[in-house]
Amino acid sequence: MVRNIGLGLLAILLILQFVGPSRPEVIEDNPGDILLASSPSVEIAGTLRSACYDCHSMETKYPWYGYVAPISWYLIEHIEHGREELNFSTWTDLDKRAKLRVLKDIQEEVEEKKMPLESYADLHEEAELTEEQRASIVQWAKALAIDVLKQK
Amino acid sequence: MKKSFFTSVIVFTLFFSAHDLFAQKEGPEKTRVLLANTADSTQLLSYPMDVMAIITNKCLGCHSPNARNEESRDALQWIELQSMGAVDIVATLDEVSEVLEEGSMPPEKMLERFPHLKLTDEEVALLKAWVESTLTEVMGE
Repeated sequence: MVRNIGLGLLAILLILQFVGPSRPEVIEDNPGDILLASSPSVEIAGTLRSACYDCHSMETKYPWYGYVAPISWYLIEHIEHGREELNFSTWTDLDKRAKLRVLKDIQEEVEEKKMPLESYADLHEEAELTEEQRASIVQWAKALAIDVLKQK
Repeated sequence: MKKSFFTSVIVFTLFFSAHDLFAQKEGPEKTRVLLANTADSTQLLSYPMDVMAIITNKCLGCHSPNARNEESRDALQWIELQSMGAVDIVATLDEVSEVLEEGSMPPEKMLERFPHLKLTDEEVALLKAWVESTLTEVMGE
């Protein structure tokens, strides 16, 4: 009886691997990326890459469980939503006002510790930001906003 | 209580000073009231009378410091535009523009209780035009 239930569950798990949403595309080469366009310090670039880029860029690094349904579905949903809200890889596609809004949102989200999501930081140690790291990101976003405003 | 009284005084003062301006001056500038400074003090953010009336009647109830709803207070307080720098004004108005485009303000729930707060098509058009011209002005384009 127990064996049958076990086998049944295994079969369901196997079937799940072939249904459901597909993983969002990964693109490594993004000429419109914010890091290329604004060349921040190595520290800032490193923090953004390790704490934000999995969900907010085209350069998602999928962990092993990102390939196992149904956990992968949860990840896929998060990544799709994250890219929709903010995609650092397509930064130069935004017009000036959109850029300024994104930079303000970044300041608020990071300052109020809404981002990176706690559920993400729990699994990614490098995404757990120190107060100093948060302050530098806010500082960077503020400075970049002033630059963007001045741009033609 | 003190705070709400203070806000009302500000709103009334602004309204009456706007009215005075309207009454006294001739020419195309007569309907514009100066309300807020941008970071650059040479640049002034201004509200035409009709735009100000819409904001006062339909937005300030929830988007002012004495509003009851915390969420709406946090999202936007018109009065804060006065002390914002150009960068924040652009970011805020871009969001206002999106909300107007979506037709998501005032929210459905609010309109169920207070249908008179619904923005008419004409009001939306006026607000949109003001938002766009202010954005252009503040961004120096």
